[in-house]
Amino acid sequence: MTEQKIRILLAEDNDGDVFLVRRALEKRGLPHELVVSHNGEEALTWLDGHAENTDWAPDLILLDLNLPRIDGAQLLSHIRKSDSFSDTPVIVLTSSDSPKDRQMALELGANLYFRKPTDLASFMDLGRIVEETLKSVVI
Amino acid sequence: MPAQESHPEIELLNEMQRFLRAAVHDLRAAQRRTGTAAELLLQAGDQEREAVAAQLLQGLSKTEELLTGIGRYATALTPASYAIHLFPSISAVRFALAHLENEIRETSATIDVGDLPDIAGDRNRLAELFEHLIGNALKFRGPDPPAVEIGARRTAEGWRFSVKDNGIGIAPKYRDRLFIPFRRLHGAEVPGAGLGLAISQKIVAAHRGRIWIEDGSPSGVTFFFILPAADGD
Repeated sequence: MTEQKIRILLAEDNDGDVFLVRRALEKRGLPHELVVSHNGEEALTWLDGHAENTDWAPDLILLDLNLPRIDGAQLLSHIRKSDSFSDTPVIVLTSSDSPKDRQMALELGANLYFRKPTDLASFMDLGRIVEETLKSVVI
Repeated sequence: MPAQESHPEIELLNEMQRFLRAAVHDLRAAQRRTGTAAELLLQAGDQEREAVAAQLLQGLSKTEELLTGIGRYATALTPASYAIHLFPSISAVRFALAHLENEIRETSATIDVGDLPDIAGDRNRLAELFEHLIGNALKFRGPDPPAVEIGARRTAEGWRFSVKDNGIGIAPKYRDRLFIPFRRLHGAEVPGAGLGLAISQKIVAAHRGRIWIEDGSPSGVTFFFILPAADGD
């Protein structure tokens, strides 16, 4: 029986962080398909192109706040206003420890705010966080 | 309520704060990459080592790129440190082209330089300005080899220099952020710290000039910058 893969859209311009996200998901043993957009405009185009495609919709969106072109806040706002993705869980990934950024992300509708840690073990915790976020939205 | 008057010192402090926050963000990302890669290397079996070591080296390389850019920005910031002399601006272009020799060869670029005037300025800083603008023309190239045209025209404001390319262009909606430090339009697929145009703007401002961008024809962009003419010119 084919294992159901989690479909994740990752909007992240830093390829070092893309490497760590992949690693975190693999380490947690989460079967997944990862689509990576390297800037906000690319992510927006991808989402608009897949809005009607019920065969492949992301189960979860990982979103860096500091994206080139269209930033993460604008992208999150677009996601929450869209018909297709307004309920898709979003985890914001960011280096920012500013309470303002955290509050802004949560007010815009992020499910969680993950501050990117500098040590490996803490970053790998992202795998557990993804799993628990998905479990929490399953009806 | 009346609008607050803008105070140059407060504006400068705000600008410095934004710069430092963005610098810390990018440096922290490079540090994270290096540190986690070092941890992975200690845990890795033989097969993984090459991939992880590559991450480590790229983190270090990015840190170096950022630190170099920040240093150059700091240098560009202070007009008092500029050495202003009358000199042929073609020599600044030649310095820049010498530094970009490898990139010009690798991209099979053609650089067409028109008649350029003598100007009063800091030759090293202006060479750096040309290096950033020509370097961007090579970096953001289209499917054809880069064709860069450099020229100058006398206007009422002074000498208007132009650096025209045939590259991928920049959508008008992104032009208002082009000169902001660390604001990049591309991800890691295009190298750079995101400081070249911010530094270029500071260099031009230190010479009491201004810099802007227009669409190229039929493709690419043209960067223009004005430098005041030398006395008696």
